[in-house]
Amino acid sequence: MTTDKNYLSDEELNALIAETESEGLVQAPKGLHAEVISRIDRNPAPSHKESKTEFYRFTYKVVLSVAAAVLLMAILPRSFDTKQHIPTREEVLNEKAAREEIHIIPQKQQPTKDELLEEQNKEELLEMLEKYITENGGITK
Amino acid sequence: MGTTDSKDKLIQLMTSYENLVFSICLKMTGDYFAAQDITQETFISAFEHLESLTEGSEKAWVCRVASNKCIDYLKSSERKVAPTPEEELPENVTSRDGPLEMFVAKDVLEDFTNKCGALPGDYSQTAQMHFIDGLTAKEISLKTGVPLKSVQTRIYRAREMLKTKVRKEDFLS
Repeated sequence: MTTDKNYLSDEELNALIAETESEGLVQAPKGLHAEVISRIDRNPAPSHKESKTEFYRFTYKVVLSVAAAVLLMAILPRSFDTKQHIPTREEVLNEKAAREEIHIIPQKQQPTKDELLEEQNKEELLEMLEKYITENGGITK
Repeated sequence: MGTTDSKDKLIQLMTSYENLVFSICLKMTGDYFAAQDITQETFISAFEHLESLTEGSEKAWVCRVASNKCIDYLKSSERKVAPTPEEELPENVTSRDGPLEMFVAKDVLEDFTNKCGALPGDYSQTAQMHFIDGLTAKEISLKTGVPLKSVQTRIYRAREMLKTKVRKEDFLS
């Protein structure tokens, strides 16, 4: 007998068969026939010929797919030529730089809140002075 | 070879060698259910390779397939057992590098029959009628008057209990 659970050699197998027969055979379970036939019917195994045919069919499909992919790679770049100008990297960068320049030029300075308030106060003061002068008959000399 | 011819050939093969194959599987595995499954798989494999079987080599072929499947089963069973750390192993334990453990097929079957008898309550009778006498669930139901569903449940539970018992003993040994 082999020591590392490899399969039995021919001599070992013959010895096993002889020993089993000499000890007396045991009756197999009664439903065995029916169970085996039922399993075969549920999962019909393909014959060698059918397996070969299936393999060739699969190979054919793979080859066809590869050929179609290569063909598409050759045709597609031309069919998508829309004749529109696609800007280069340099053109995009130049445009970006031009836009940034516009923002660098200083714009007209807007007055602050304090300056506006100060101007408004001045106007009000002027109005008050004019009113006073009008009411009091002008500036005395 | 047509399907009908193949099935006839298979049935002829089974009639000739099923007892031998089953006995070999019982002898090598010591497990009734494993032997049953492996026997079925052996004949299904034979069906798939009927064209390559030659007259006179059928006996050796089916026995070879059965023994190989038994060895594969034993290998996979060993892998499923969790390894024990070395410090927990008793000193006198021997490794399993020795020859395959062989059982006597009749002893295994007798042990299995005893286990069926030792099952609790109604499971015992159902197990003996199904596993030992080979009656189907329907036949048991007609014979005992128990509803078919109940019989099927008992068979299922009896099988689980027997499997647990057999594998527990195998692990402890």
